[in-house]
Amino acid sequence: MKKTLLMLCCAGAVFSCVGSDDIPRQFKVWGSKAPFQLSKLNAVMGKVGMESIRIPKGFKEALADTNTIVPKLTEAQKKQPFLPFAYHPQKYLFYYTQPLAAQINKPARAIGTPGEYVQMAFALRTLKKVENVGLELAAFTDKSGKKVIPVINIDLRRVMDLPMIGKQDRTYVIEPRYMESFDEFDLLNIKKDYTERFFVTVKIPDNAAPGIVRSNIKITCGSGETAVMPMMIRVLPFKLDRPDPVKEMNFQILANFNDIRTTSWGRDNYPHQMLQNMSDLAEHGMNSIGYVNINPSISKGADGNYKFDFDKPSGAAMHSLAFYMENYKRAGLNGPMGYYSCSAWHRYGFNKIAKAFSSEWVKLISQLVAAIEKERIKRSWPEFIYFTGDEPGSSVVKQNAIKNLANAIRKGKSDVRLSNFFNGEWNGTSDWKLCKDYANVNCANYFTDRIVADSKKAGYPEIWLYNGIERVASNDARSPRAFYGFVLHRYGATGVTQYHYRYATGGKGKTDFAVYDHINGTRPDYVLSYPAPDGPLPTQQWEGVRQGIYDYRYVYTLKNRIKACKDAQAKAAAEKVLNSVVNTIPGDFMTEKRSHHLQKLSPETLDTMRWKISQAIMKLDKVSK
Amino acid sequence: MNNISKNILSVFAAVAAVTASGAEAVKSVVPFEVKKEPLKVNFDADCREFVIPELKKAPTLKDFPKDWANAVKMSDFKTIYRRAEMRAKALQAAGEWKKFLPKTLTPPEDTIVYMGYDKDNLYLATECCESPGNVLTKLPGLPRDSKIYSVDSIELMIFKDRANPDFVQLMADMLGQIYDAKRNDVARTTDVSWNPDYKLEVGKKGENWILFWTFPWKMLEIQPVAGREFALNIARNKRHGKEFSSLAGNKNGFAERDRLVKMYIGKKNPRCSVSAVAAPALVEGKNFLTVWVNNPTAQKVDAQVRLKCGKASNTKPITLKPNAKSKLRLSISGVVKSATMGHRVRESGNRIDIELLDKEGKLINSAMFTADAMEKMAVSLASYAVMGSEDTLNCRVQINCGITKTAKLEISCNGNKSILAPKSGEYLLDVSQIQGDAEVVIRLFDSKTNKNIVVKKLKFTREADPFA
Repeated sequence: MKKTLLMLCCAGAVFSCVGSDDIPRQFKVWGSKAPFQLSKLNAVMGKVGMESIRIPKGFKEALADTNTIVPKLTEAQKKQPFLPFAYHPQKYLFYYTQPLAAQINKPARAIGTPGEYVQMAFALRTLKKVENVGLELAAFTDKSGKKVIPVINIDLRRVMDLPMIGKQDRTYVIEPRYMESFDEFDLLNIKKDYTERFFVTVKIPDNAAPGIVRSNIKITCGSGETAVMPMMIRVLPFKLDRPDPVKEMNFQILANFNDIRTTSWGRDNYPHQMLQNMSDLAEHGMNSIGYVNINPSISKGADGNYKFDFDKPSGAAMHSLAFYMENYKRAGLNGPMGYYSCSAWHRYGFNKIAKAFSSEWVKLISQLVAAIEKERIKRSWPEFIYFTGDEPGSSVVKQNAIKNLANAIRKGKSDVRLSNFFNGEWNGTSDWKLCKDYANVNCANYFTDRIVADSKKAGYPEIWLYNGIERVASNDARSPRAFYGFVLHRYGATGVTQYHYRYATGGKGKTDFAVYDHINGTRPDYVLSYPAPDGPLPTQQWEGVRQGIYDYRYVYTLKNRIKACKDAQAKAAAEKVLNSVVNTIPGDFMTEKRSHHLQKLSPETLDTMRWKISQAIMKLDKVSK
Repeated sequence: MNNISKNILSVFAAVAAVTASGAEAVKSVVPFEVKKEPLKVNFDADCREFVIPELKKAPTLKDFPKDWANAVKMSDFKTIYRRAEMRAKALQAAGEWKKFLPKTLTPPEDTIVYMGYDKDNLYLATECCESPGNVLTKLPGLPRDSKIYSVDSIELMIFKDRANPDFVQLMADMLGQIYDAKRNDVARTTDVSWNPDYKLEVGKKGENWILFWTFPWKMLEIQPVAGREFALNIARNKRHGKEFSSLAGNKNGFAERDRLVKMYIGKKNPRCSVSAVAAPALVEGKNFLTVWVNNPTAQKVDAQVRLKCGKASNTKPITLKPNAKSKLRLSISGVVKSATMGHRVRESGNRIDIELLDKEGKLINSAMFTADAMEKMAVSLASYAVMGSEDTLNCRVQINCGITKTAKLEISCNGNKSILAPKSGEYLLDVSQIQGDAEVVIRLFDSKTNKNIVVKKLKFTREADPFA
């Protein structure tokens, strides 16, 4: 896509005044096409794309729960080769999904503030076989015809399917997953009675004037027939505030870009794409990464003290901690990093250097932490939050390790922040309570209003939420959006993290590009982005995360406006709106009831919640003027 | 939204039938078939059973487990289902939690039970497996009949007859502290003054701790006659981490009579029993159930089957042929209530008892099960908040109860109303005139009497159109 845009710019065909430097960073970072074979060792030879994935013997395709009713068409529509229709960008459309009659030829619409990436989606439902289909973008213009959003700020992608394990035994469902670029070098042949889906991301320029802007995507067929997909964006008259990632909100996700061993879940990350992947995180609104495999190289000096080389990779890591942090900084990740490596400081290579929990081991860990903290200040790296364990639950062995690690880390530097991936009260153990003395941040996957209050009472100054994304039966990306957005406000969290950005099943003998091969192994809910040779490919779930972060910022902006408002009546009205929206999320959302509550949070409902917040902001702005 | 079933029907029906005054609330309806989960309970398959062998020599703790070579060995305890389900949901992030159930149903440490008998005593040993580093909860100095279940302990529930709600509950911890009481499962009574004489020894085998009970048959009020059947459950309370598991494999509690383990003294000697029950699906209100009764004996038996749910009951006579299975259709009227909505894991549902009685009304055997019932009518909106640009809103109505010829469905939305033939379907509501908060009322009623069968209300918001 970016190549196309560059060419278009150079030719001056569409928007001559925007140079290549102005391509939004997100579009520079994204990859274009997936590897042509999505599986190697286990591939179906001679096939490409989804068809290269081997369906296990005896598995039959099952249909997803989607609209398959043929709409009642007008005589004119019946003559069309295909029916263009818009759909919600967080909803999954399947190749057999039919449009509703009311959707056909209606424009795709989005609302956004200057600087935002807004999303729209549309599909073509074919009524006959169509060949050589091409799509052509045009700039968004206001009612006077003035260009407001250049073509260079538009990214068009085709939604690609992958086979997933179905709900019934020995079935699979063809589900929309990753999104490939679609530009003027792409032509499509689409079979009859097929729904081809597209996803549009538009970056609203920082200086865009408020108002409604319009554009058309021109669709041409080899047979000469043409159609248009109209698009509309309402640019709102305010900008979104950004929370402080240290004190207010640290948007984080777990990712492993530094270990490509076959046994590692980071195996399907292209080694040279670390900065690209990190930039993808930053462009989506992330502040930080929870990370493993970034320890400095360790040696023991003649004086008996340990020496640490921050420019040399350690263990299985490809790159050094210093290189990793340089990428982190350059990507624009500015929040405290979740230093997850330390949860293994009593195992593997560390245990070989000094026996875990021995006095020599305490010396090693304390010297290591002191050195890391010194280096961090020296090189202006963000804060490290030391995550000492993973879901200790009722395991005494894990709790002991956490205690020993915490004591050794604090011996190295007493004022560092410690945390953990707590199991909360999933199994009634309240591990966050048991480990209170060894954690500063209560980062857990189970919260109710009562637990939030108990956490404060126990002395935790802040809570983080983790692992709140799930695939619900609703066939859309509401869960990632809600979790990274309104849910955080409901609990007053100061951080969020999720397992994770990209995951491939580890272990020898597994397929290459296992990340695409969900039906033979890798769990799809752990994959928000797919690897391609030239950069990451997004998914609707990952774009749902982006929208969630925007939702958070809309509410955050309203909160700031309320704080600054001097008109008591306007303030009270805005507070009413704020509370009604935030309290739409029930206090027991982060429990086993989550999937039940998600049933009421459709993408349209989340849109309306955001729109209510937007209107409240605009009203306050009017009053303050 | 079950669009697949919609597709099967491939119907796009226009709004039919009677029109009320004012504008129509419903623009169109796409009917669908309701998929009902049929109910089937197989009591024979759901209950574990064992034969207790007679031992020539009384076993000792000293020679454990050598002395127990001829005893029946039972293991594979299962975590209590509602906890296993909760954990499975914690392990998943994908909505595919059922895949984790086998893992979460398996307790972290198993318990092995040995049983044997002689003419005087029932011998029972439980070996509680532990791993190094496990935290064991102990509370020394407890008087008899204290709440032993709040420490690491073993619980026994022994029913001299599974058809009889009277049972004895015995508990012990690794310090040899005990609890014993007589209880009644129906009256929910507990008598802790029952303190019989029996022997309990406590031992260790590596990390594992062992309890060895010697119960006189007299105390259990069971005759040690070959072929005699009684029922029990053995539960393990592992307090740290709240790991609760049992030999029977329970859903909510350890004294669930429908899941008790069948124990035969010396040899199997089965008697008439309720072997299974089935129904198309349980719905709030009246339901028909098919009950299978098994007569494994060589004699013809004249019996009665009684269905009980809450205070209501229905009894029908049945003749059981020798060595045959018979089935009978019975109804339970107006007592089954909806219990499940979403993920209320702790909901107990509807308990239904099936009793097999002889001609005189004396209990031969019984079974019971707990089942959730569907609501008479389930309703939901595609979205509970919509933008002002949306003129229509999908409302899903699923009618689960039986409908009479005179029944009608009324859907009203802020003054607009449609009266339609009662069908499950996706109803497209006209919301074009609504601003702000609104309510949809869905009423299933008898048009002859105007009496409500069920009424549901849904609230939603329609915001101002951002593009207006």
